[in-house]
Formats: sequence, C-alpha cells, structure tokens
Amino acid sequence: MRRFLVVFRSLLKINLRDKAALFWGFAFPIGLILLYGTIWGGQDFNGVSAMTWLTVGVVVLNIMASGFIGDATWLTQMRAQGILLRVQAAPLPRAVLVAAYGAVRLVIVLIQAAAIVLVAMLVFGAKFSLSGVALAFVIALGGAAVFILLGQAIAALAPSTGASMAIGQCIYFPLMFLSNLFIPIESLPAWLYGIARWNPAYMLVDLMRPVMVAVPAQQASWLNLLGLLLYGLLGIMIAARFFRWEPKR
Amino acid sequence: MQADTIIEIQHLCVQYNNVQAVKQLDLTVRRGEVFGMLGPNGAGKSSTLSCIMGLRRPDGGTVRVDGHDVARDPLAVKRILGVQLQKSALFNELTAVELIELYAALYEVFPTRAQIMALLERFGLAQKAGARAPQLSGGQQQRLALAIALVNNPQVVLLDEPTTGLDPQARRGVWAMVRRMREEGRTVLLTTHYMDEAQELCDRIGIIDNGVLVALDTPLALIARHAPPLSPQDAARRQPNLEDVFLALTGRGLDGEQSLVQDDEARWLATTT
Ligand SMILES: Nc1ncnc2c1ncn2[C@@H]1O[C@H](COP(=O)(O)OP(=O)(O)O)[C@@H](O)[C@H]1O
Ligand SMILES: [Mg+2]
Repeated sequence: MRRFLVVFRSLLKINLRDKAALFWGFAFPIGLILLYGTIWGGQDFNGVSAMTWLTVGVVVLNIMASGFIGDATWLTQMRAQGILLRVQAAPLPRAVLVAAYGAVRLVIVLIQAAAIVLVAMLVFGAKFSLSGVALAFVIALGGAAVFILLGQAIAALAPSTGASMAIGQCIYFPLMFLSNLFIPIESLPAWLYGIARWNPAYMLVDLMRPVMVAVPAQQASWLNLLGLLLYGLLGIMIAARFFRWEPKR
Repeated sequence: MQADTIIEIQHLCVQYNNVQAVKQLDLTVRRGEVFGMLGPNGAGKSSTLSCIMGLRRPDGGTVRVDGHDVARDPLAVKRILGVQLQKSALFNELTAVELIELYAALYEVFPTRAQIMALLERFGLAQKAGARAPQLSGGQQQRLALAIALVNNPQVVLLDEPTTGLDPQARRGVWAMVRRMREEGRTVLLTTHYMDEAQELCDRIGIIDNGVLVALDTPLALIARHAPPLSPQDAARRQPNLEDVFLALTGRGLDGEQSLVQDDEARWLATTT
C-alpha cells in the first residue's frame, strides 16, 4: 500500500508539472469556456442556457483529449525514454503500476472537470444542481476510464511518440465535431448523425448532459452505457495484446 | 553451481526476428568481483543483461542469479539486483530526491530524507538534490542513475555501458563509484566497449563478439595469452593491451565512441577521490 501511495504521489507530481499537459488540460478547456461565454453568455439554446449546455461539452472534450492525446503520448514517451524498461526491471507488480497510473489520471480529469464547471458557474453564471453535478462526475469517471484505455490502445499500436500524437489527433478532431459536444447534433445531415451516435464522446455527453442540464437524452442510456463499455473492452484488448515495454526496432 | 558463483549463464540464446544476438553463451560471474563484458556495439551485451534482469525471456538456455532461475522467478531476482540501463530513465519532472524516493518504493524500500541525502552525497549530488534531470549534466545524470541502482542495497549491480558518452574525468568518477561498490562486497557486472575501462576496472573480462564469448580471463592473463608480440617500434612506445587481444581474436578493432565534454566532473572528482 505504501508503495502504491509513493508511486501515486510521484505520478501525480509528474502530471501536474508537465507544462504541455497543464496547457491542454487546464488552460485550453478553460479558454474555451471563456470564449464561448463571451460569445453566447446570456443566450439560450432551445430553452436551456447556452453556457450550461456547452460546459458539459467542454468537460467531455477534455476527457476525450486527455485519453486520445494525453495518455497515448505519455505512454509512448515513457517507452521511448527507456523509463518503462527501467520500471520493469524493478520487482513491482504490474497491477500496482497500472492502478496508480489509472488513479492519477482519473483524479486529474476530475480536477479539470471541476475547474471547468467552476469557471462556467462563477464567471458566466451557469447553473447546475449539486446532485446533478455529483452524478455527472460519477459518469465522467467511468467515461474517463474508457478514454484512458483507448489512449493506451493507441500507444500500444503506435511505433513512436510522433505517430502516437498523430493518431490521437486524427481520431480526436473528427470526433470533436461529430459528437454533439458543441455543435447540436440536429444540425448534422441524417447520414452523419447515423455515424455520430456510435462515437464514444457522443455517448458520454449524451449520458452526462441530461443529469446536469434540463435536456432529454438523444438515445437510450443503456445503449450509451453498453457502447462505452464495449469501447473500454476494445481498448483493454488492444492495449493488453500489443503493449510493449520497449520501442519497436 | 559453485559456492562463489553468483550469476550463472548456460547456453544462452537471444533471437530477434532475423538476428541471433546471443549464441549459446556460457558465463559465470563470481561473488564480489567486478566482471566486464567487453565488446563492440551490437555484440550482444545488452541482450545478455536483459535476460539476467528478467526483461527478456531467453530464447534458449538458462540464467541463474544467486540460485534463482530468472525465467521461473523473475521477482526474486529483480529484488537482489541493482540496475542501470543504457538509457538513464529519469522522469524529467522529478527532482533527484523524488526520483530516489520513487525508485526505492518500486523495491519496497522507503528511505528517510536523511538516507536519501546520504546516498546523493555519496554520488556527489548533494548540491543537486532539488534539481530535475534536464538540469543535470551528462555525468551527473549518470551518477544519479548509479545512485538509483543502489536504492535497494543490492548484492549484484548490473551496469550497461555506464561511461559511454562521458568525458574522461566523468568516466573516472564512475570508476571510483564502481570500485566502492566492490569494496562494499557487491558483485558488479558491467558492459563496455572501452578497452582501457575493462583493463583498469575489471577483475575478469569476457570478450564478446557477435553474440559469442571469445575469451574470458583476468586482463593480464588475456594479454599474456592472446596479445601478439608488438613490433619493436610499438614495443618502445607502449605495452600490449586488450585492444591487441581483441584484434588478435576477431581480426577487428574495438570501435570507440567519441566522448562528450562535460562540465563540473573534474571539480567533483577532486573532492571525492
Ligand atoms: N529489440 C531488438 N530488436 C531487434 N534487434 C535487436 C533488438 N535489440 C538488439 N538487437 C540486435 O541484436 C544485436 C545485439 O544487440 P545488443 O545486445 O544491444 O548489443 P550491444 O549491447 O553489445 O551493443 C544487434 O545486432 C542489435 O541490432
Ligand atoms: Mg548495448
């Protein structure tokens, strides 16, 4: 347990001191909130305040970026620097390493989500019920776990840090637009909606938004939950099958 | 296995897709010695170390460390080994103290702040306790990696090219550290492609080329047995050395790498040795 705590604390420090990660994880999403707030601050979308609607989207966007880009890139970097191999040379059970890493990443995503919601509330007066936010954060944790696993899968498949970053971004950007995060799904052509509804970011925001904002879900919760579960399983399977301690030669 | 044997490698084979990196290697390292694996780049040194460290399953043969079969019981072996890999593997965001603390925890060792400082002091890094890896010179990073190799007070220390890329002063600093490890009764197995390093530092040397052990003995015995007589001009200038031995055994020279010039090594060395 003590071993877990030291590894957890060390990884937390590493995450909180990484300048690029801080920019993408805090400055960027909060910047988006400030931008959206300035543009749509007082407006309503279909009877709900635009800011509350968009804030949930920014939280999910951050969870997605954190997995597809943050986790994927970090793992490939650690592999390229020989750090994974050095850690493997120590008698640390893999479960402890995986648990500490997962716990740190989930804590970070939660802190980021809280920061995003707080800025929206304090600066732009977005209103959420406490119980809604609490339930949404539980859902966010599960969703974040899915995206962490998908990030691990990308890292396992990518031959290098550059490739990992490129793959992550190639998945992230299209999914950002095909997801109902910021662009209401109703504005997409029907055939695109047919694709977008299977996107994990879409499923996550469709689960979280109804509990935080007074809007109905687009599709059944069980479908969203099942979909996210399947994405998580896919991530685990690829990550476990293709994980490497060392870069490919 | 003899009483004074601590590492026993039998018929070790390592195969990558189409490269046979290690071919039927037999080698024993004795308790308390500094053993050097000398060979050019690509000889199979790191591959052999990977098998001893339990980072790679041998494709043939066995490796035992202090009686434990590495393939069967890698955790038991990892616990008694101190390791330093070819890449120094330091997280950029952590300070020297935090790195020691983290790596120690991986071995279930939880040193106090004073113990961490004593370890850093010993490696000439007390002033750098709060510095992060990118702020350290190459020689300092290497010494930090050596300090980390001792966090679990290991019986056996495996060092993969501990001085490659260091300038001569920094190399001598590392040699002093290795000698001290031996004085403390640890066994050291290191790899190098510097013949002067092998000759200066090692009690016994295994010369490896192309995945094969071509000779094994003390430096002096190797020179006495394998070095061809020097030409009269050469004999007037120098003694026969391991470079001559390697040339005689393989028909090729040991290619040295350019060393990098580092900063404060000389000053540090002056204060410790
Ligand atoms: N992961 C790997 N994949 C493919 N070939 C490798 C790998 N590691 C080492 N090799 C090859 O195996 C041979 C021995 O490498 P290595 O053990 O690293 O030698 P040394 O440490 O003596 O320089 C070299 O030909 C090297 O190119
Ligand atoms: Mg090597």
